[in-house]
Amino acid sequence: MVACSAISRSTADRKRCNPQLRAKYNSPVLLREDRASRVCYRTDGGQVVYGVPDAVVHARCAADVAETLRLAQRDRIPVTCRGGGLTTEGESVANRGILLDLKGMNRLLECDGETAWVEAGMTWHQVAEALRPRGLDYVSAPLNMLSTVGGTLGVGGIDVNSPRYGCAADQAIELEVVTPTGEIVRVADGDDYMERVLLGYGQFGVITRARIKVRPYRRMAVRHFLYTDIGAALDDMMRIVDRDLVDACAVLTLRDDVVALIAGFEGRLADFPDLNLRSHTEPVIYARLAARYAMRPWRLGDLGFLRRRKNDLLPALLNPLFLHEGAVCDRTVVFSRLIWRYWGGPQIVIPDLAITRANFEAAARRGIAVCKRYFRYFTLYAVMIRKFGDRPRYEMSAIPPTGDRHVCGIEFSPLLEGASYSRDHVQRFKNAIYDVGLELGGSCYRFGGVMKPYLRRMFGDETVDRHRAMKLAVDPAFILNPNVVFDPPEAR
Amino acid sequence: MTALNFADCIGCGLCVLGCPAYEETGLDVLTARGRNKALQAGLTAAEMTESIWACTMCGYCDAICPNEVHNVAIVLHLRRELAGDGGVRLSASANAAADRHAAPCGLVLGCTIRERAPHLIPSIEAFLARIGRPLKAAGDEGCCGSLEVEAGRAMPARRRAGVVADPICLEQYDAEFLGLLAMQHLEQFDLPRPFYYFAPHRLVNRDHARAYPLYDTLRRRFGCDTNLDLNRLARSTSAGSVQGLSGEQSRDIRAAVERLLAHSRAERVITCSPADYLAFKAYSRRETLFITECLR
Repeated sequence: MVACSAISRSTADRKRCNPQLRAKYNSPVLLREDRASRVCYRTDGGQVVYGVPDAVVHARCAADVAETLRLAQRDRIPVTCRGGGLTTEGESVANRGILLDLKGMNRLLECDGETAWVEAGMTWHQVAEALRPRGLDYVSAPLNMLSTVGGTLGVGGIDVNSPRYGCAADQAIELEVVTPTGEIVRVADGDDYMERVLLGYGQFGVITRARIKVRPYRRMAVRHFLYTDIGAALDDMMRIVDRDLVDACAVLTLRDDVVALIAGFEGRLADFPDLNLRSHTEPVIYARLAARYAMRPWRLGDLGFLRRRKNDLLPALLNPLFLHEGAVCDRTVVFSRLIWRYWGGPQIVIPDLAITRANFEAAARRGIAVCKRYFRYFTLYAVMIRKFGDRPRYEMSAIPPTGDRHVCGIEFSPLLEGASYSRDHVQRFKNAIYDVGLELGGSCYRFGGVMKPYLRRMFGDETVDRHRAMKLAVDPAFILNPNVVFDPPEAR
Repeated sequence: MTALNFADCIGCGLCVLGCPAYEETGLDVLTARGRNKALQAGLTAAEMTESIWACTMCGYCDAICPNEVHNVAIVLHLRRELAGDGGVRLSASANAAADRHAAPCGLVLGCTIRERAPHLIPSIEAFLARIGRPLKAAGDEGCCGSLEVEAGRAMPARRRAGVVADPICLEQYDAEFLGLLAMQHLEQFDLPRPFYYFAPHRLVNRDHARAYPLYDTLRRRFGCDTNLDLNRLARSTSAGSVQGLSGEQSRDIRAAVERLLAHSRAERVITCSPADYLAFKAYSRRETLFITECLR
């Protein structure tokens, strides 16, 4: 089953590299190169970028990662890391070299009640599943619980829990990292190398273990408030977040017709304080929609879309299997499943912006205008992210520079409803959204992969060159996740 | 006929969460997502034999898939393709059993109970009598053919029976399942706490609306640990599958048992799935009881 005959397409590389990898991996540690094992990684969550690696290494421990990187560094074989494979711009797709699958490193190693050492290949769902028998839960993680811990810490991990707790990367207090040259190191909060690796987009090392904060498990009461104006909803979300009233908070829209502010908190539904929110009751929303469509009868078909999507969303949120006394028992499961029902499709197009709160509403309104130019149906998903000072990790990341306590994020997603659009059309749409971010001085969640050209425009040559020099210092052969963020040396 | 809709797989990976082949090996290629991606890339069944035979048909992937991809049907189809090419053979004992097709009876015990755990038969009959279904096991029950179907060497056939004691056979019968009857008559049992209840995973995952609430009720009423996970789906030992029963292309059942019990301090395991009963008895190092052995 285990064989190694074509790590690299280069015969010379093959001769140099294979005997040692073969010797190493003629064991339960797997390096596989059969076609089925390789093509199952041919694309990522976005399903826009395709590529097939020459071989797949299934790492089981840090030593496997270190050995792979040492040999790859020596023989200049590109290594692409993959966890959940849920990138959307091809960042975890390899079209040559080794694909390093870290999902096999998926154990909870230690837990002291306040922190837990977890292997980086654990998905957040697995983290939740392993912590539950101890009465514990993760603190902040992406809604998509199929992301792995390592991948999430590498890009930030921004979602509904971020207003109170910050991004997932801010939950890590200690890491085990394999450097691109194959050295296994331990780093803790405050270490320079830790600041490089967190939100480092996999450029500076491979996270193999992380000590993350955990908290007692509690059910979550979820309330939603309806609006017809995005500005009012964003404004109310900022008020709620400023008063630190909720664990989780997000704004979700159906086009810009219906806007929902969703708030999750510990306690009973009735405990939510009266904040004089500018939301409307459902009958008022219907009346306003009716008035709007009466003026534009040629768009009456959109009502079918709104009804369909509502029928998809609410039963999933209110599934009695996951409710107890009105509270959501397993946010991990409910939200993760919902995401795929709501956003999932043959092409996942989710350009996003990270923006200061001063430009939050402007970014949303301009983004909506872009969405309307390119697609009939779309959704916005907006959250806030707590910052903890000006940590070095935030530089050149999804956390734009600001003195505010919070930054804001918005995803703009077309809801294709069975329609098919060309890649060019989709790419033009993404570019238009990113242009909005550029003009408003923002950043974005994902600027790797095919969106790499935006990097220099977004952060400036000086910053990018400085980070690239740091990358070259730790990864002289430029083998680790090459081309995802920085241009490799020969390309310049 | 169920559509072979592997093209609908969007690669979310929800199916990977509870896949027993993945839990054991950590190999994406052995999961429903891996197979679907390989099929989307144009691979043939012959290029995917390992993946096709890794599936234990636990049904987790079908139950959780947000795009309603029929993963089990796809595997069965691919196995039929392989079998047509002289694919993997069942073990001798399973072949011998498959040759004996007898008329269905009121109570279908299944090969596992008949051949490997006949001591359970009196308690099963006693339970059925207690709830007003006095069915007796037939002496020449024959083989239900489920494993032949699972191996891709036969098409499913539905026959009528009264009660089926093994969830593997249930797939070939229109009948009531002994385990569900037990859940509906919990007052008949003395279930000594603390215990771990292994719910029949195929039944829970494939007939979720009917089966899950009953096992969830048991969990809430007795506070027992179970193989039901956060997704409200059932994890498997792989014992009740063609791999577990034939010994070919087998999964590591001992490791699966250890994984399932890793966080449980229960002193005993109770189940209504005969193959899993034997698996826990062999590997759990805890007292293991078939549900009808707990009859008051």
